[in-house]
Amino acid sequence: MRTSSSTMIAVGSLLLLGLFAAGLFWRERQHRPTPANQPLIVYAAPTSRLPLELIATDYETETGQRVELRFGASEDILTKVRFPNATEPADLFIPADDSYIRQAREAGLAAESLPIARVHGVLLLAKTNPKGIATWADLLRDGVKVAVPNPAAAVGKLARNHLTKTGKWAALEPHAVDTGTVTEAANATKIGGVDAAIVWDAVAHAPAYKEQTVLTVPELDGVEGRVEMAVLNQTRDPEAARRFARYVAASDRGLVRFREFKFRVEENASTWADGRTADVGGTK
Amino acid sequence: MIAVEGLSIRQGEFALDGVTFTVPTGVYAVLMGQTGSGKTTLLEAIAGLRRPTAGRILLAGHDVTQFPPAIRNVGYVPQDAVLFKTMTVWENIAFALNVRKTQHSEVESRVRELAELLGLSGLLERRAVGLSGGEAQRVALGRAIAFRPAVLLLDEPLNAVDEDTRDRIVELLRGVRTEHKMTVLHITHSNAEAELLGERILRFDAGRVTVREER
Amino acid sequence: MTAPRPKSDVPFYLCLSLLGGLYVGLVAALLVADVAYTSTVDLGHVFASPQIRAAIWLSLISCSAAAILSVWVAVPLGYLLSRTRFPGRGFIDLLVDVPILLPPLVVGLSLLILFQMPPGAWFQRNVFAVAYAVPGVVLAQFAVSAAFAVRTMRVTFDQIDPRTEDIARTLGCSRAQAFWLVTLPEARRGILTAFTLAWARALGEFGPILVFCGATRMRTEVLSTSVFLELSIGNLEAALGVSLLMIGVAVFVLVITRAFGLRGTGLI
Repeated sequence: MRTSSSTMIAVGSLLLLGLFAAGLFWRERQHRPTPANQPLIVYAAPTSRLPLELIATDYETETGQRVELRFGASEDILTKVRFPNATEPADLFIPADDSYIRQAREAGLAAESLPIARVHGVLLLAKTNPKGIATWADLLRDGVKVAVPNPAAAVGKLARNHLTKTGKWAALEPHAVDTGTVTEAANATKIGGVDAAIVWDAVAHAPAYKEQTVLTVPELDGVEGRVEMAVLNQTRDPEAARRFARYVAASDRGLVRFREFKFRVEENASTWADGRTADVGGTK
Repeated sequence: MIAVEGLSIRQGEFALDGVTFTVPTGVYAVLMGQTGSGKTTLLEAIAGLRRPTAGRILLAGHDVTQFPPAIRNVGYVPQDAVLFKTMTVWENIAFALNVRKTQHSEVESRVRELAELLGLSGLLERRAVGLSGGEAQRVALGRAIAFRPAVLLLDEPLNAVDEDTRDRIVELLRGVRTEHKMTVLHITHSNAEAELLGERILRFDAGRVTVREER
Repeated sequence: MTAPRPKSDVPFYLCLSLLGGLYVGLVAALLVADVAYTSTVDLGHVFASPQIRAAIWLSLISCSAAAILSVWVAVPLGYLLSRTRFPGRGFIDLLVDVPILLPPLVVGLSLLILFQMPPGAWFQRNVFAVAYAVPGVVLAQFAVSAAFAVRTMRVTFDQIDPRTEDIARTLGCSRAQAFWLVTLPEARRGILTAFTLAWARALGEFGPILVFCGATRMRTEVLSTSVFLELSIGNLEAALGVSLLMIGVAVFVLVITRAFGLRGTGLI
């Protein structure tokens, strides 16, 4: 009996599947590290993506050590750090702000962390600023909508606490629109869905929002967070992880990149050379 | 020979209970009964598609009650033909032979022969969809007798066809009967059909079969 | 007495078109808005990025693999659910819907936890890495899209007359042969629908992949991840560019699949 159409389709689909598997395997091989050159695995919030991608490339060129960046919202990457992969434990953790570093510390996931930049709450105005917002009082006018990230995002929590303490939250609340993350708040201003958003300055100064006005207002003065990089306890090579953390936090290396992207970097950071001395000197 | 002994089947609302009858080898029997009396269920049981709760079915002297349909050597033509829609008329007729891995040349000659007999020669390459009721019945008949089964079961074969075709199919069934020497069980609710074709007429009533007439 | 003059059918069709048109209009408007927000320059940037080019390839291959795998489990499972009665059938029917009901992030988290547990961890150490690796992408896509494929195949088999299989059995087929030679060819259209649905579903899948495989550029980045990565730095133009690219790729693949899959069946 001639081959039935079912047999042909079944065999064909298995052949295709094999082809795809081979393709994926081959593709994975291209990027697979050799055992001698395990990459450092860095979980990072996307707010730091642009400087970090450059720093990782710089570091690879300078030292030959590969760095693999894995991005995700701060809550997500914290979850991933909490459930480390058996074969690929993570080495470093750089969430959007220090609140997640604290959580990681409390969960016993990290012991040391290096400060990289300070972030402050600012107002990012909608493109073309149609409502003509120039001061805090303008936010309270009729019909003005302000995106405030919800308390799960650090800036949302800090801004709410601060404004409540200074007695300004009650007036703003009717105008506030809850968004999930800082980026969602910022994106809402870019599309024009809201007139302003309370976001970190580092986010507001990202190239994507370069056509929009950033307003620093005294009402948000106390809203401050830090970008920090934590060395995770699960790392297989604490030495290499610490070395990269120092590179990122060095005033003449990583911080230069962060500064390029308008982060307010830590002023009294040590230089890469200092760090190397520390390596050699062995401060452990 | 078809022998049904004390056959009981429970199926949903109706039940056949203790049905007994015999059709001798080579006889064309017509089983008559009202619509919904369980005639189809009975045929399906003989074909092996339904498991009886009690009783035996004997075909050509063998107890086949526990046999799967595939080895009962029964040709079954359901009421609405139920053709294999993804296949051509040719493939439908050749199906049983191909399943039996019959030699290609033999399949070829058998299909041609049946197509000739059933007047389907012009339709062989057509896909088995959109055929008229009469054409579909003839294809189903060809498909059922292609492998020369000992027993042929026909479920209201003339129901879905118009007057002209009906006469033609009656002729065909007569021809099949004489040419193939099969034991045939033909069920219908029409007296006329029974008169035209039946060598032995069985009446099926309230789950019981009585031999009404033997010619 | 003359029959009353039948009322015009126009209002009937008008109502249907109006209600149906609402949705068509919405989808069309969404696409127009996307196109209006991006420019060919943005699309150019998207294509120029080696990361996104890598994501295109990974998306195409992983979705196709996940869709084929989905069909391979959906056909037997859909058949069993449609044609047989066995203890626990209702429960299995519900279980198969779980991946559709679960929030996507939970699917990812569950996969992640599964592969940290001793058997999962053992598999990863001794066979191959799944979490944060390409096999995980395919698995995450498969986990959700197979549920849709199973639904489709179940409905497909429900609609195929089981008697064709009965007839095939009287003609000398075992159940397996009847299924293979008769039912499966009749299910061809349903299989194709299941495949395309699973494929499209896998292409759009995001949450589970992000949680289970991360968003590592050049490695586990699929197109939906690219959208997320661009969106998360406020690069809406590029995000929309990638989205339009996804739509284009999806339409292309679905059209090709339909054309090939239904060729010669008289269905197109």
